[in-house]
Amino acid sequence: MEYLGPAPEMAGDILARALKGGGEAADLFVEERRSLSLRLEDGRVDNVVSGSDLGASVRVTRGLSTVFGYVDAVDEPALRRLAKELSRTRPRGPVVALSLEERTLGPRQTVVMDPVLVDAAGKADLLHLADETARALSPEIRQVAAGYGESRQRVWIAGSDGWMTVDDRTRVSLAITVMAERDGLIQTGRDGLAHCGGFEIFEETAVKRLATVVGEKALIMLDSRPAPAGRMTVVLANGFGGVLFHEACGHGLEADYILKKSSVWEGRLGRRVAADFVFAYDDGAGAGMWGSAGCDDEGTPSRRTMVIEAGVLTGYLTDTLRARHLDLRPTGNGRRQDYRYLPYPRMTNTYFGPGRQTPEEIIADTPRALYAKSLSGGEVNPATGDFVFGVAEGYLIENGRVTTPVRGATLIGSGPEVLKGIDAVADDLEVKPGTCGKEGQAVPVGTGQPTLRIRELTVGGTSLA
Amino acid sequence: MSKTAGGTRRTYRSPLQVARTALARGRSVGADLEIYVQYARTVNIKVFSRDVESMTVAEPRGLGVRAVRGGRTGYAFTADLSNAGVDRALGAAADNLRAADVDPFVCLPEASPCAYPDLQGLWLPGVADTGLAAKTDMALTAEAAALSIPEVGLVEESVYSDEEAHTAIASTMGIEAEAEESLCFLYVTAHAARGSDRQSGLGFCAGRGPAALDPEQAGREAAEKARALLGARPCATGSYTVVFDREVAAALLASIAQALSADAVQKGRSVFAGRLGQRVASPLLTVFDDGLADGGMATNPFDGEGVPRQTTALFEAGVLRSFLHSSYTARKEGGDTRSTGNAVRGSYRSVPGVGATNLVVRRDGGEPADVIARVGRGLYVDSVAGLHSGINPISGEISVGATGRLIERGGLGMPVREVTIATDFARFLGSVCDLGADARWIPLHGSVYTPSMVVDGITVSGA
Repeated sequence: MEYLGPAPEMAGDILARALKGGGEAADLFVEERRSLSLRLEDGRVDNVVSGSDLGASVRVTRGLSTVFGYVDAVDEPALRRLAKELSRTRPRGPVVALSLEERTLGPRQTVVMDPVLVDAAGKADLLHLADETARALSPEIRQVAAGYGESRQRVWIAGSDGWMTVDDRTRVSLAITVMAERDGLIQTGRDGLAHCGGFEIFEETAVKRLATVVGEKALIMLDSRPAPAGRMTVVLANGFGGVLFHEACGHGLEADYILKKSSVWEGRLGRRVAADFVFAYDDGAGAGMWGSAGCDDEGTPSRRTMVIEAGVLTGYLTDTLRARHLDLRPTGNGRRQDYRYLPYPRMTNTYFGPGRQTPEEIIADTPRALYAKSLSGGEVNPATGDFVFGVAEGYLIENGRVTTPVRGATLIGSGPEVLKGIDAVADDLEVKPGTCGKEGQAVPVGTGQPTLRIRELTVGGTSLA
Repeated sequence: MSKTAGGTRRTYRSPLQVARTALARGRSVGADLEIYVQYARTVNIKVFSRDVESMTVAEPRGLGVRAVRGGRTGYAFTADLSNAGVDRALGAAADNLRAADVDPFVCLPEASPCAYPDLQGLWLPGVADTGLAAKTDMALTAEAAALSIPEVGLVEESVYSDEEAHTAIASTMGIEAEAEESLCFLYVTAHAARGSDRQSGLGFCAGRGPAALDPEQAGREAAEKARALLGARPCATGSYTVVFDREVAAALLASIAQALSADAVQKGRSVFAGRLGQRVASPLLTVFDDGLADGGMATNPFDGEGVPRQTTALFEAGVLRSFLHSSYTARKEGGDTRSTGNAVRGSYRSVPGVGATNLVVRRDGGEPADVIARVGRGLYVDSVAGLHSGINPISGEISVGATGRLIERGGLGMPVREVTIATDFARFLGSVCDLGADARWIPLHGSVYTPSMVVDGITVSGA
């Protein structure tokens, strides 16, 4: 294994020093991150930004109380000073020597084409290709913004319960936004391609396909009518629709809310929460998925956790601190934006499992509904379970057929009610990349689902039928 | 780490010295350079159940390099301020510009002939002089205040947070700017319960120093808001006259202001393109971007690229007067357009963009009486959810979740949740029919000073 910063044999010493103030557990998180991003707008690559981050943090907990600090450095003296400083916030105790064992993780991430070996001009070409492909679709396409990002994050993590581990995460992404305009009406389309892995996903045909899909989305929405207002059946398409699980249920299963009894899902383990054909997972080990890693940011190996099994709630998502207090096994969900932040229970890649019907069968079986083809993100209040998400591309379903495009709709509902309202699940599971914000920290997540139908949901358009 | 607890200030090379040194080391790069350096000290204390849940004390610092040559820009950032780290960032910025395309309007701003405004009170000693124990007490006090309200059984979190930031910019165009500021916040999320019904509410306060905070008030505010929603249910779908609480009005205005950035306008991303000099809002609306406002959390002598901040009229009696400019958008606009001092940057890690500072809604005269009484019937909205996904700053569409109370016979009636409100920028701005007399500073990404707003014809989707 390759370590950054202090020699691994010093980590035990640093942690022992941090625990001197009477802490019960301590961990050390050392991180190096190299990142590069390029942005294109107006047909020009106008921003090329690279960054390097190198730093480490120490966390000491006693009971439920945590003290935390970090330094923008990884040298041993700096970490010793930090550990000493943190130990001073509590009364002194003896130094107890610690020795650490290496914890090995599952298969390492596969990076076929290391993005660092592709020159910046090649990345700029990718953005130009997206721009030209989208603009060629129609003169009504007025603007294309495209962004490329890559990062390589290497971490090593040591815990006072006697282990240490390293992880190496390379992520690349391409996001395209297209704006179309007709008679003063502006509409947008947006989608991306991203994974945990190397540059190999950016084949010319894949980039062209993406730019075409996004451009067509914006053009279709020029023909849209204002979305209806009121309660109706909703069919959520696969992929993007996964925002539903993330907001309506996932956040409420995060163990910090459970521990504080501030989640609407607290106390519901083992209870029926959805129909028996509904399964849901959090999967930090999914190969290539945007929210995957070898381990979480506390060094717990990534795994797949079934949270809903045949309609019954079977698991919460937890870090080590909350796991200790809730008497759960850590699920590999202790995540943080970077070394400057405390880890919290966070989702990795969440999705509903596939069902048996085809999406066409579900649509054909639906007399009238809103068909939400792509979503623009959402928000939830874990206390009440009330969530919203925005529909970026929507249509009406009339008599079993997808008809008129509609714009400007937000869906609103209560998590527990909406889960119970799922009455059909298709077989076309797809997981999409996204970014989740919580505690002021952004982390990469995957959200996915097969096409599914919800019996009734409030659609927040402007059109009063 | 410094000895933060006692407020002892450690001596260090000032950010301006670091910036000057970097500029000197960058001579060999062969490009125009701008160095942005930020040092900060931050404290974040979260309490739960009458105990400290987490305490973070940190001193983040870093440097960003913008290199411009022949109409191309490159940018690099680092938290490693050693000579080697700075040299790597300088080299990376110069490398990066090679991958950019030529844009004839790309430039670094010239040094301003005028001195920067002398703004008092942006940095107050209170943040440094107050110990961690006293800061913890403020969060505990807010929690206790919330828990003292009937039906409030849980405070999900009570957080005290502060920051002292010392920022400097130096460029080969002769810009040298340096400023210090302090900010502190306290926010509380309280839960009220009645039977199986549970609702939450947020209270907050902010200022330049702990003395400006009122923890008891923030705690009570969170508790009262949660309690007021108990028993809430969806109201009937329909068109309503909506009273937007000032916090909600502030959030909507901040979203609308994204479309007032000249960058958005020039790149076809704004519904306000081509509307300068035209009526785009109700005659009741006069809104300024005031980068110098007394009490504004975004107030600063200079913007993200060292241009003096100023006051810019956006809407005057509903007429669109100006867009927000950086040096780049001003040059692109041509004529006598100058930067309005609206280059904004999140931190040393980001290239300057264009955005609002403090948005100020001016209310001249009018009735101080309660807008709710004047409305008579409608919906009072005290919080919205899903701003990020529900507002499209390009198309101008707004559709967000809302909670609040029905307004019946001039007073607040049935609590409402699980409804959405939908409109768009033009209809929202054009339909403002009354303003409250309750203006307050609301800290968002910048900050907004606004009273509550009354808007006609909002579609509410509910039961």
